[in-house]
Amino acid sequence: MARRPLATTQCAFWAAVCLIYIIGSAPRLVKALRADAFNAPAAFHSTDKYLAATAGMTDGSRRIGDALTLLPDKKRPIGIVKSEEPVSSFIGMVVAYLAWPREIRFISAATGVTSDAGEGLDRRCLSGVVFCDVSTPSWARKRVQLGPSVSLVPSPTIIEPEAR
Amino acid sequence: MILIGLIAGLGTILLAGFGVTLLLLRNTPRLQAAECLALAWLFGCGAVSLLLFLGGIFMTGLPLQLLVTLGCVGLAFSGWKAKAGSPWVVPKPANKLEWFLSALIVFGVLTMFLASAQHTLGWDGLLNWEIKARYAFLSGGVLPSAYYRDAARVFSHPEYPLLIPMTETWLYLWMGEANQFWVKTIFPLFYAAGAILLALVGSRMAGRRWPGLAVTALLVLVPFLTNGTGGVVVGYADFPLGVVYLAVIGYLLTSLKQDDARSFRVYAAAMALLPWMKREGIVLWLVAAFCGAIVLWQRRGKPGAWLSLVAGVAVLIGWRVYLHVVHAVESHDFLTPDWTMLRTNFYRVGPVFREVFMEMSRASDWSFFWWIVLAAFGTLAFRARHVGTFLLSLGVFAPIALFGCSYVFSAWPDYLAHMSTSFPRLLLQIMPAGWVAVAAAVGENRGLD
Repeated sequence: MARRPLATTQCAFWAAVCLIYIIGSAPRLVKALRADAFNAPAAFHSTDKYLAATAGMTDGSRRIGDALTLLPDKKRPIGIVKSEEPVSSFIGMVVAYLAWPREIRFISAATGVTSDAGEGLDRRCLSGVVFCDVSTPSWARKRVQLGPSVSLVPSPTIIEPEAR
Repeated sequence: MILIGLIAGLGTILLAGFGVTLLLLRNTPRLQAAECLALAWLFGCGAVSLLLFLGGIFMTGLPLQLLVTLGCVGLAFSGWKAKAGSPWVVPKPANKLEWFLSALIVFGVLTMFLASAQHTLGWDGLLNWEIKARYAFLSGGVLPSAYYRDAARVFSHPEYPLLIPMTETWLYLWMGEANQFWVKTIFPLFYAAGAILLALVGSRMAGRRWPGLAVTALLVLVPFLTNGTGGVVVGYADFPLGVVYLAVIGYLLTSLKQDDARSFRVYAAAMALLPWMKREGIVLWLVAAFCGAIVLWQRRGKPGAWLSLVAGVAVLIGWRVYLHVVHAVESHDFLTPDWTMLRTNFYRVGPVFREVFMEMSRASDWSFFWWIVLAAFGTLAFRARHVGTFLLSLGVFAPIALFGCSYVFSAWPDYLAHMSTSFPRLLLQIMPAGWVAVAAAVGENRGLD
């Protein structure tokens, strides 16, 4: 008989705990479900959304992927990102993700001196340069604008240092 | 066509998983269909990822896909033979409360599918896990050795183990394309498997069915699962690892309660998946192996049972050897722990464990979950002072302490920033096991006797 009040107390305790937990958690679940609309099942579902948010691109994955495919095979592209700029670094990582199976190298340009980005590179080895949220410097003549803040300069259009 | 491929890919995973499960549960008088389904998913992912990785050392493309498919069929056939006439049991809710709780669990699973469809893959989901699957798919199902050495892609942690990426690759091979949307299907499926296992293990530990169902119904309300940058919906490996760890701890406790070799086999097999899922799985493996050693010592286990503990070591060593052979580039988030480093960084201990406490009590991530777990262990400490309670508390708190200690050796200059980005996800790996304690405390905790 002594166990009965104990069991009732225990039951009431756990019921109260569960109730507090439900009241505290349910609104967060509802908020999470309302956070975003249902997305169309696209192959580049995630990278497209990221590129739209960070680089203002529509159909960004396909555009970057297609542009990189057109570069010569035997040379490697490089990407230029702003050092210590998370958005620029992130775009660079997505470019690396999409560039496979091409080898790609990245160089960081110090913030504020991006006009010199890529200066001193041996351009004979490059198939192109991708600027990730970095303004295109003077040595890049013809650029393909892939999005508002992402551009590609294919190698034939890169002015050789001695030609400038 | 993509959907048919996806279904075929998932089907072959389940086929292989059923085979492994039936082999592990051989000689069981009655097979629980739901239990086998949940375990089939876990072991299926493990088997397919290992077969794809090992087969990929020798071949690529269609021959590799055929070989792995044959492996899945072979496992299913062996399992079916081992089943040897054991009847299937489909558990049905016994009363209105159980029907209600079961409906809430189904609602939770559907919620995860919906939330998963709404979200993109998160940072790690995309750039640590899916990236490997995509590259492997583009190379005929094999992750090229050049990837492991690629300095430009070191951000994607080439040294991370391959259970999730190879499972994703398997779906891509069947779908015929790398698809960032459909590949996320596997994560709600891990949630569904985890829900079934939590309901089962919780019921066993509580000694009654409704506490197990109740905690499973409440699982979906842990905010980090749907809000956090590591939950089920963003394609990270942490929750799947938590589900495997739940199986490990749950079946160890079941084997302790029933002195059951079948449950111990499931425990040992699931434990081997821990280091194959994620690097942090090594910490969970160590804790689980220690708990298993206590059970074996107490039960005077046979040498064969002791040997089963080393399956995880074989996976771990095999993977490290492979990384060495391909000259994988290693990322260095942690320093090598030694006595000098400990003395140098000892000042971090206080701030690290303050952050551990702060994170566990952060309502936006966990609501009151960890307080409930604490209350549950408090209750169990008074009412159920058995070896089972001790093992469960060790299984929950030892990894938290070890994960906390690891940040003393963080290579990041701002070690607290390192902690804030990764520690919440580590807690997610323990969270399902924490619910088992709640079920045991709410019920009559006969299961821990």
